[in-house]
Amino acid sequence: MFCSVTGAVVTGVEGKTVKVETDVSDGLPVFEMVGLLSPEVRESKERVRSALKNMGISVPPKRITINLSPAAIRKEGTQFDLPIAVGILCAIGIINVENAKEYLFAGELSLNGDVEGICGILPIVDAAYKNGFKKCIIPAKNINEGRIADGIDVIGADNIAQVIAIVNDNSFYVEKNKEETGRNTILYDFSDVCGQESVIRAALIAVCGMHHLLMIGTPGSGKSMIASRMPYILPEPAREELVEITKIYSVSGKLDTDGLVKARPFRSPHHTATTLSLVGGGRRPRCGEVSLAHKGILFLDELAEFKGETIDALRQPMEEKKVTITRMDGNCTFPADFMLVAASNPCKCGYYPDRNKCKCNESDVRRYLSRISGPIVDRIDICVNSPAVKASDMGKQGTYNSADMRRIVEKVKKIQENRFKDSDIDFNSQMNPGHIKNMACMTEGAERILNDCYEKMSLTARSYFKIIKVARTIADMEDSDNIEEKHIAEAVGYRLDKNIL
Amino acid sequence: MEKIYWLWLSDLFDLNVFNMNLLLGIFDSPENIYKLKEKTLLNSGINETIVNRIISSRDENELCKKFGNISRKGIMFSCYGDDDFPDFSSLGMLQPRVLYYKGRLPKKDEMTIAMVGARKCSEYGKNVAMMLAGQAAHIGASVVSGLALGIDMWSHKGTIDNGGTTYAVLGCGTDLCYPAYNERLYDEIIEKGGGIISEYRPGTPPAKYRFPLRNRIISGLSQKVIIIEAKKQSGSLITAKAALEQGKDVYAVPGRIGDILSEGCNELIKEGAGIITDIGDLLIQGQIIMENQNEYIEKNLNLGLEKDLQVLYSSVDLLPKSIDEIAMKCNMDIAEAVRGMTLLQLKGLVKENIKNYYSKN
Repeated sequence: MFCSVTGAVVTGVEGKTVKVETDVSDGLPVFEMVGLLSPEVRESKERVRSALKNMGISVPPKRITINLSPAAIRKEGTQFDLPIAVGILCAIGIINVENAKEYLFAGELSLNGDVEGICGILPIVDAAYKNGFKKCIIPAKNINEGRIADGIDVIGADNIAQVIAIVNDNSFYVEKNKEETGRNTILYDFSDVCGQESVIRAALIAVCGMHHLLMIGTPGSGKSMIASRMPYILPEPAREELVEITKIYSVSGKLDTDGLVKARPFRSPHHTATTLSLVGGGRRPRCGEVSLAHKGILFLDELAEFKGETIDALRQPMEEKKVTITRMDGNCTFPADFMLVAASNPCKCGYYPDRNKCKCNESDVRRYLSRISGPIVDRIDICVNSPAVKASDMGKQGTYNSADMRRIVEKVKKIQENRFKDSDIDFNSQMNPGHIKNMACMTEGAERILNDCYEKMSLTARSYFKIIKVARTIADMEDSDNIEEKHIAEAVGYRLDKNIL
Repeated sequence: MEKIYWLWLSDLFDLNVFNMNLLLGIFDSPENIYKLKEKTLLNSGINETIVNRIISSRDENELCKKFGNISRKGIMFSCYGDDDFPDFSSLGMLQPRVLYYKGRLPKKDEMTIAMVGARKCSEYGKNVAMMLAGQAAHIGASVVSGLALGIDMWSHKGTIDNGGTTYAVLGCGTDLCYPAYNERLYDEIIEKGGGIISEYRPGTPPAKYRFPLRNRIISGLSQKVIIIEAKKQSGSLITAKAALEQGKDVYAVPGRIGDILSEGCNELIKEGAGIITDIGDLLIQGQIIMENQNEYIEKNLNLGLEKDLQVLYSSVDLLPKSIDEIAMKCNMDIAEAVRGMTLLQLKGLVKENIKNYYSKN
């Protein structure tokens, strides 16, 4: 007897429905599976057979053929165990075929018939919703994640017996997630940082407008400390943004059982990271750190120690806010809209310009920082130097604290929301020259100063616009509609000039 | 033709100038030495290995090959006795007899000041070197230094930036730019009317032992020697020592006790070197009388700045300070301080040496 149920496959962060066709007919007893299967899907038949046997269901000694269609898409992942099992149960008349057609199934089976958790539930449920399914059965372990999706009944099952009962009786109870609202608590507060007020101010400006930031400074001056405090002052993410982040974490198996991610991510890969681990890739495309930092912060400590090609690979994601990985089987795209925070020592020993400690040559110093690839330097809006902390600053209570900074960030976020409500961008840092012309008005004095700087400091056109963008954010922080002289003057102080790195 | 004997002799004894001058003392001219019989040489009590070297290198064809194409590379030379050959008599037995150069040599009546110091200098040292070199250019003096990284190159640069003339004495052939990092400076020195000078034959590679030797030429070409930053036991102190032996005035820029880069200078001052914080000190102590001395005036400090900017400006000096330090000193918040520094930079009063480190321009 033939029957067909629905499962799903995940490519990138998108799910696609897959028909699981089962045919049980007379003939020599074999269990055949076709449809461009990867090894873990092929192994599925052994798990399904044992699971059914251990649940007390005997699979008849007949010719069983399973086809996963469309056959042209490569099937990966262990989520096909459940639809295959359900398909067989339908074909041998244990599950009602008509009822089963209303569901999408996903889940891995263990040999005793339990349904085990899998990665990528949210994209799968999303695909079910988009393809008009009203009901979806997933592992009970993933239930919190599955219920993030709206408009579809997501049912968790612990074992095959439950699945049979749910489908045949069409009776289930759907509980909605209680989503906690409110901000993540501040674990690390900026008030712990001694001194370094200029760096903290720069970090605040950077977060307000989501500008890429580079901190240069001696070891132990608090660069990492400041970076690790930045995620707690990031603007509050919208729910759609959280869903996007959750999808990425879901497909890479980094999601805990709580369901929706609650805050913008902060990723800090080590400087020995490979290009693939940073931007994603592999034979089966997996997302890299840039995607895991989507809508959050990617912190690259010791930027100059990263391999040149690795840093160069950041160009496309920084420009297009996504990573496209091309394979023979097709493309897959991961979103990668992150804010780059980088830190670097000024030279190999780290103490330049303190000549009592630094033993590096003039040319060594230049060579060290020139290792940071030019195209990346070009994309950094704000650059600050974090000097060594003075003994007198030690133990002093910082003038900034994260709660206040958070308020400023939220205020500026509102101003930006208003400004960009008719355009497709969210933050000042994303403005293109067209936006700048319309939305970043300068006073006459400001324009004069900027032009003066352009000539005297030999700025490039790119840094000219970067200064305006940063000045726009500073003006927003001070509730000023127009960019004034002082805003430009301060923004110029944070520009990145390769000659004085 | 007579000059080729000078070239031959000085190339032969490039590492033992003392012996060369000894020979010249006995035989009077290089041509005589070239034409002497082996027996006479041996009888005059000279070391046998030296005699062998003299004899084995006496080959006219070889010499023509060696020195014939010098001028083709744009390199000139001047020998002892030539009109433009500088007076090195103060060097005594260590005086060089040939100078190769690109550009030109200092004139006999030119006021020359040597400025040397550490290769791994601090930003402060760099600022001082640029300042003193600039002042030297303003009073019309030329600056002699060694084209090395650090203080040397900033001294050259400071002179050129202020329209002065500067000479670089190398420890290798004048056709080589060592260190290669300073290639642009090397060209600029020649373009701006200065010269690249060396006592070594073109093509001579740089070597560690040649640098102490070239230091005596730096001081030999100059009337005054200024040491800007020096560690204990450094090449700059060798120059200072050579200068003292030559009877030149030595000045040192004082520094803080404990700064490694100031130990050498402070030591020199202890031993009696002059203290210099401004090129004017040279004019007073050294009693130099220059034509345009009167034109040399201190920069007027009353700049007509707004109050805030005046406060900020008075907080910076030659030692680069971080923006946090400046803000704290002036009791301003960071944003104000950053703004003020940008405005002062636009007025050309302050410069940003390293990111967010500012010093007086």
